[in-house]
Amino acid sequence: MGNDLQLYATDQRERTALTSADHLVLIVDDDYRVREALQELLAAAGLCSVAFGSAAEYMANATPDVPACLILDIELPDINGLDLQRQIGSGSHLPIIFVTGHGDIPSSVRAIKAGALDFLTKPFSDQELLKLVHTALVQDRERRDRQAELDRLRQRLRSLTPREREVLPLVVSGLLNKQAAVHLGISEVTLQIHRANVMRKMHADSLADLVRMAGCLDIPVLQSRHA
Amino acid sequence: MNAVPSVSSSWKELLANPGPDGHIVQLYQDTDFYGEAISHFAAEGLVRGESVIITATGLNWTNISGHLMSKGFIPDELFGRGQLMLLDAPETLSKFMVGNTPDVKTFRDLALATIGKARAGGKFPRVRWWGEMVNVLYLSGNLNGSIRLEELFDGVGHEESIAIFCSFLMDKYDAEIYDRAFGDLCRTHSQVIPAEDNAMHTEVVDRAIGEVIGPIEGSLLKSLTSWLHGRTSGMPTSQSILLWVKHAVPTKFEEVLACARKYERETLLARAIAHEINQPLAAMVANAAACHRWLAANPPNLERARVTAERIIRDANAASEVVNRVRGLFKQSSPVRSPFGLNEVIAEVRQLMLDEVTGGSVTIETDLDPELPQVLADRVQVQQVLVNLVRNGIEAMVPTTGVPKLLSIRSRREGSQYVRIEVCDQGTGLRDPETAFKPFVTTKKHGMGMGLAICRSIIEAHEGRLWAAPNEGWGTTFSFTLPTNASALH
Repeated sequence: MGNDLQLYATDQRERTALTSADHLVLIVDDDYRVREALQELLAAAGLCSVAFGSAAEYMANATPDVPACLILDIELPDINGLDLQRQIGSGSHLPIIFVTGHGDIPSSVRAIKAGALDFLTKPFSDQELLKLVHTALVQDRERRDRQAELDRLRQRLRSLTPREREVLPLVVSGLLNKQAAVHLGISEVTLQIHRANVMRKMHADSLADLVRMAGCLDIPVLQSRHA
Repeated sequence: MNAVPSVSSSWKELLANPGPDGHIVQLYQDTDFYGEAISHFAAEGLVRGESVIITATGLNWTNISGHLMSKGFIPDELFGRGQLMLLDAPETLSKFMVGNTPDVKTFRDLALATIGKARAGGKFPRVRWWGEMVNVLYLSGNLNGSIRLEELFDGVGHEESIAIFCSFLMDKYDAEIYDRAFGDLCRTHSQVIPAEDNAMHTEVVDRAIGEVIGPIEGSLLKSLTSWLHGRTSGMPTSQSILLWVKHAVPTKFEEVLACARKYERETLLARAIAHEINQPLAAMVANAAACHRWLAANPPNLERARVTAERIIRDANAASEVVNRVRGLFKQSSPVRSPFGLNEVIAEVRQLMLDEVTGGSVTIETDLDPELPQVLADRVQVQQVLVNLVRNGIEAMVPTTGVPKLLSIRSRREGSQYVRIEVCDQGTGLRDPETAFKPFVTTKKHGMGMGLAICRSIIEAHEGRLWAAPNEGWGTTFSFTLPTNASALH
């Protein structure tokens, strides 16, 4: 991340805590008073945060590789929140909490609601904000866990030989060894060897486990690619 | 060419399927709606395997390509594949405009060649074209040339069976568009997408009709228009209500329009004020909550608690300052007007601001018309406007380096009835000067946000105008006009 970030950390101890933090709240608001106060509130609640004064500043910095969420002011000088959400949306799945400085929410903004976690109207209560931030962080943590799991499974899938990759969909479709062997034109014994390799390489404890993994990986069932 | 254009119930659907020779016009006032509509038109064509031609100014192409990319399209790839063609609007215009009129043959040859190229030897049999050449002409004041070009486009569109889409910037409060442009545009297009009908415009038009035309007729009219609304899917918007008033109650039209504009100004001002107060309030509430948590911690963090308490005091003072300014603004229900010389006020403001920028490297120069007639206005309010503009200019120059920090204030006559003041900075400049007047907009770190919105409201209350334009090279010029004392007496 850039050096010009206003990392909230008052002393060395906190700064160390921040760099090793297991979460991060990102703030984009053009009013320095609001940024300052939000960071203070989050710090008092034990949360780490980074603040940006504009969308451009935010976009210029990489999203951290920890569970994170974004508190986004919808009335930014350089871009409106809707556009920023669109731009962010194409690159990441960061949960967004929108804040607005005026009570009546324009209709164009309601459209954002679909993708946003929630709206807060300034001034908002600390409980309300902190509750949303926690929800967002949990949501992002879960999403990241799912993603990590998927990455692991893809990695294992790549370790399969082409033949093993043909065996996998047949096995998870519930075909008997004999049927699958006929389907591929190989002997049942050979098929059993492939099948055992698939189970081992995919780290599957049981057939049910392998079926679940196949589901995560979107492997088509019921018929092989050659059917 | 259809005599009576139909109005689509859903602009998205219409732009997705414009028909083989549909000629659609969009009236817009909000660049977001504009970018969204054009990129939607282009994107829907691209996914249908059609070829898309775009004739845009450089600035708008940036807007459109941004929208396209956010929809997952990569313009460079599409150019390479020949499915997207981009033409520069002013450059293309210069090829076939002879004076104020398009040359028929040159235009036809150019349009047919462009369409032929887009078809790429039959690779893309269907073509759709969005262009803003007509809008460029219209905005330069050449309505006749613009309509003539629309007619030519309409002819080529029918001949070649291509869908054409145009966009026109419309000021909803400009009486003239309800007279000529609106009718001409309807005449030369097959479908109209009315300018975004924001809730505020509907509300202020409703209120204005109620006030000007009267509660009984007003509510009758409203029931009539709501009846129309049910029958004509999508129509009428607040603009078509105004169009209806223009034809049905022509004597009241201008008054309704002026009244609606006044209500909109008030609504915007109220929002701006709410925003200005909400910002420090939000900071105070969050700081107070933080302070409470620091004190409740075990052990309490007294140092952080003290810092947050100090910020609360600072922000409370800022909020109270906003309230004072607003009170000042509304102290008199109407401004107290007296004749005075603006040159004198400019000199005062210059001195005031020079004191403020102590030690700064900013130079303020003045270029005053010694024969400047007096104006009839609220001196204090006009002075506030000037202070605001000068302060903005100085702040815009803070980040610049390598350019002299020079602010100049000029006074001039504007025709026989107005004086004009210009405040010109060498600052970072504004990408879109008009948005600076929207409430909630500020580029400043410590900005008041409502400054320019209020300034405009003050000047307009004096029957003047306030606007901004980028300078050639660096910076921005803010200009305002005020009626002279002599013209006000008439």
